[in-house]
Amino acid sequence: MFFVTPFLIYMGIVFFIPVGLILFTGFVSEETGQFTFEYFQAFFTQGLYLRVLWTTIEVSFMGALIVLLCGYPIAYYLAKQPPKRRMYLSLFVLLPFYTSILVKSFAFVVILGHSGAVNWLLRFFLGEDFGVQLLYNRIGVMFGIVHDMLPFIVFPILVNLLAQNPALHRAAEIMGASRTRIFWQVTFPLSLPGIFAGILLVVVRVMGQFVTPSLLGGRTDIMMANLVDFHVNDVLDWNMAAVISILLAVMAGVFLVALARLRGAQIFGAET
Amino acid sequence: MIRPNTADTTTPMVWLQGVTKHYGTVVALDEIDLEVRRSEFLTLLGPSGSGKTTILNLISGMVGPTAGRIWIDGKDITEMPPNKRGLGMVFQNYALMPHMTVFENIAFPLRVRKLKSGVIKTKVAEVLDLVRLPEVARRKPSELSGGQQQRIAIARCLVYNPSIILMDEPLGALDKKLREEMQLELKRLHASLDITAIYVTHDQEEALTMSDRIVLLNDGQIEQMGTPDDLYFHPRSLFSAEFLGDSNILSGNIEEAGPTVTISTAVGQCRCSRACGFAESGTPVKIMVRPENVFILPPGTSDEHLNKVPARMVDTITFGGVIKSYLQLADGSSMVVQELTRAGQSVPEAGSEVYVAWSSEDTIILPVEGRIEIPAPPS
Amino acid sequence: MIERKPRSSATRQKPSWRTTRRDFLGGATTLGVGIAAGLPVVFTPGKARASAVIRYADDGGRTGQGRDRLYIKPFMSATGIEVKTYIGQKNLAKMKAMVKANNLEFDMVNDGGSNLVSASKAGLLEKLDKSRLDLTHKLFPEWDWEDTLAWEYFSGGLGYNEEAIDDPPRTWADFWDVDKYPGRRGMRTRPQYTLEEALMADGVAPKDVYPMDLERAFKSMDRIKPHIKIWIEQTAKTIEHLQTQELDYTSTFSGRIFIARSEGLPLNFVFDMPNSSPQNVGIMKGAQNYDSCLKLVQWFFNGEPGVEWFTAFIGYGPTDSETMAQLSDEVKAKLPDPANPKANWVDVGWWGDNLEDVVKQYKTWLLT
Repeated sequence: MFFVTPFLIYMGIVFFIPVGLILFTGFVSEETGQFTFEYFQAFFTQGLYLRVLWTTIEVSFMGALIVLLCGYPIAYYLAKQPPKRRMYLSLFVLLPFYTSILVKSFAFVVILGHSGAVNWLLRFFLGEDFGVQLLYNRIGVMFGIVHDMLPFIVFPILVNLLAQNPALHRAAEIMGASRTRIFWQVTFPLSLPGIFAGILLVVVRVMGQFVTPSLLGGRTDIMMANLVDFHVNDVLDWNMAAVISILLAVMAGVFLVALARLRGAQIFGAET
Repeated sequence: MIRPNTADTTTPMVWLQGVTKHYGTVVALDEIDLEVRRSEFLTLLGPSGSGKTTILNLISGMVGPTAGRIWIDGKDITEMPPNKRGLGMVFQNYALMPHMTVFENIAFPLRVRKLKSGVIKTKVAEVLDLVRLPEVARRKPSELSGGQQQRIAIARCLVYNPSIILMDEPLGALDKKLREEMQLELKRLHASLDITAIYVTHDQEEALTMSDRIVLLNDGQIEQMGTPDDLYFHPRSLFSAEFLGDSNILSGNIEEAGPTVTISTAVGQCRCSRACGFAESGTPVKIMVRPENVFILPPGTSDEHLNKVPARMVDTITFGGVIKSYLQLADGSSMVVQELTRAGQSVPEAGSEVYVAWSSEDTIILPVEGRIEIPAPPS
Repeated sequence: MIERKPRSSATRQKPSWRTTRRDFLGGATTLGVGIAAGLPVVFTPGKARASAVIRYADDGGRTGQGRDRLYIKPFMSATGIEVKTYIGQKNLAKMKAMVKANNLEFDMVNDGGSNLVSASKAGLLEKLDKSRLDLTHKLFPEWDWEDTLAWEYFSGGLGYNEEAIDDPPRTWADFWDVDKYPGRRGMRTRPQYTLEEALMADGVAPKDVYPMDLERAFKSMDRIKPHIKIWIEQTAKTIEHLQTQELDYTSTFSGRIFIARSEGLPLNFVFDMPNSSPQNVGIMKGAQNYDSCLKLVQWFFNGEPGVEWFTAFIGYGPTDSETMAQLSDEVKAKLPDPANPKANWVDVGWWGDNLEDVVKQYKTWLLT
């Protein structure tokens, strides 16, 4: 216990006290100083907040789904590589960590922008009128999220795939199963724990995003973290800012619990 | 154990024709020619790295040969992918799908073959009866014991009636008693169904117990191939002699070749009543005699047919049903004598000088290096 | 220039500037703020130690660097007073937090007129002792406030890419006309200047814009809303989007356009309908080195560097008529003409009264 004390003090200063203050700000009325739900009420009764709440949920889950669809094949491919090559290829998967979102947003313009590579190709093949707006809207946000979150989905799944007992796949093959069947009936079910782990990481992270929506999204892609920023800096309504922060944390917590329950309901143990 | 007559001159079930397998610079198999007869129980026996699992992998299709062809039931299947070969395989760690119930595990190959659900139900029930586990269909593999899991693995193998079953040290993970039970179980199943079984093990006792024929592998080559009796009573190399059963080895030179062979050794002269076809007078050879064929000579006995050698008692150990006596010979080499335990037995004290003897019929002459390359007698 | 940087603010306890606090809360506040204010990444002392140091808040980027080179450094060598430039969050929220906590991170601030007039109305700035300032040659006598002084003015309006567009809209009504001018449009995510544009597009003459009819302004905004391709948060992005041709035309500032031009970019500005606004300086309430700051205020108003600055940074105009007289005709040509009826002069006083509420309304409107 003695050795934990400095850490506890540190955590107290940088975590517990500030979080406590936020809770305080959310639940205590500014005028009366009494405990109140008025700010929470305001959140749930005004269309603006509910809309942003919905957007946050939508973007989180849609983003997670798309990341999963993109990331699973990558993990699958990596699992099949010899170890050395796999290590080098993994460096590429980790690229999002090396680059800042501000720099990336420039790169996205070059690729996805109105005069960018994709639109140039589209117009080249389909004619002048076939430009598509891929930035400053939900599509742009999705690109940003998938790019950022790819490592978080690839590595949990990869670890799972590498740990799977190869004898199971061999046995299935000898019994006559095609590659497709082996994937859907053996590999995929056994990889569900990895998928859940990845989805959890992605959803919780995306819920709290605010730079990506503000740089790559449109005006309706505002998420709860952007709203917190707005209330703190522009409107100076720190009670509502606290409320939104608290709700965001609660949402992440609820999702975590739900996912844990779902996983516990399945008896996919470790492979023998 | 009574073995059925597997004399069969029709097409072999499996034929490895000149098969070589290299892994980089390592030669796992060196021009193997092997025929597996229909309905026989063939064991691939050998130490780790001898190539036995490689042969299994080649037959199953998991790896392809570097050279040579593989035939199953008259068809060249060297290029055929594993999932089309219609074989069955049992693994050492069972390889049961942990996320499926026992029923689903066994039903898996049937679903692959697109059988109707009613048929599947029947077949699964049948095979569960066969392995004597009718109650466990709803359970998951993790809820079963090792022996039960192995039986389910076998059931899964049998349910779709493959013509060949490959077994890769399937009993290795079980304890001794269970292993012996399962050995009998497997033999029973093999006898009642008309299946060709290819069994891999490093346990020579297991091989001797279960096999119709044994293929002994050494470092990628076939050391000796034959019935258990062949290998046990007529080993053709030092390796074979030492791998199966216990052996006492002496070095010597042939003095007289002929119907009876005389060999001079450092501890005396020995006679062997079997003609030694591969060596002439003056060739250095090894003599082998099994411990159960050696006995400590009661004082005063003498017999020309016996080989007699002075020895000193070192130790005696009782192994339950047998007693082994360890003795030292004049030149320092050791000799083991094995007898069945009897009540009231008296054994000479340690340190006492005695004579050990064995019949000249039980002497086996082996080359110092390599093996005797006579084609095995038909059996 | 009004600048918003994507930097998150340190955790702060909420201040209560509207109502009286209970003591019980006051203790918690001080504790929280004390901790939070003590941990910013840029660790600055609570008050400037010697009176000969001014902590001065400015923007980064080209304009901020230019001011540092042309105004600050010469000031330091001329007066011997040290000036430390602070670049970071200097918006209303920051200023309020600093003043309330009695923990200033800067003593003097250079920011847009509407922001500083609002700050002034919120009591965050020190009163400027006009008796010690020489303001005889003020070009805009109506820009007269107690706590803040306009030292330059800048113009907002329509920027466009010359290579993409050769016929940009010349009035705000034209900008609202998507059939006649089908280009890809950008607008700002802040109401300042944007709502004025909306009113003028709806037919309101610049002299009648203030006090603003918000209902009319928002109705006008509703009409253009679906046609805006990008809603731009940061000023620098307006230039970027024109450069990458993501947009054909957008609300921006003439000064930015000319800086881009000087770097070789083919961007231009529509002079027919400028939206001009003062840039102010102010001294934070509780600043210790008031006298030194006042000297810097004077320096900005009519100091020597003026001519060089306004010549180097075209599109910005002096508020001192003497400085103006020294500028070349070329430079003056790029400044909005007060006689132009289509030129709008932003009423920062109005903004000072209404900023917070209008911002909230605008941001809400933006999201729906």
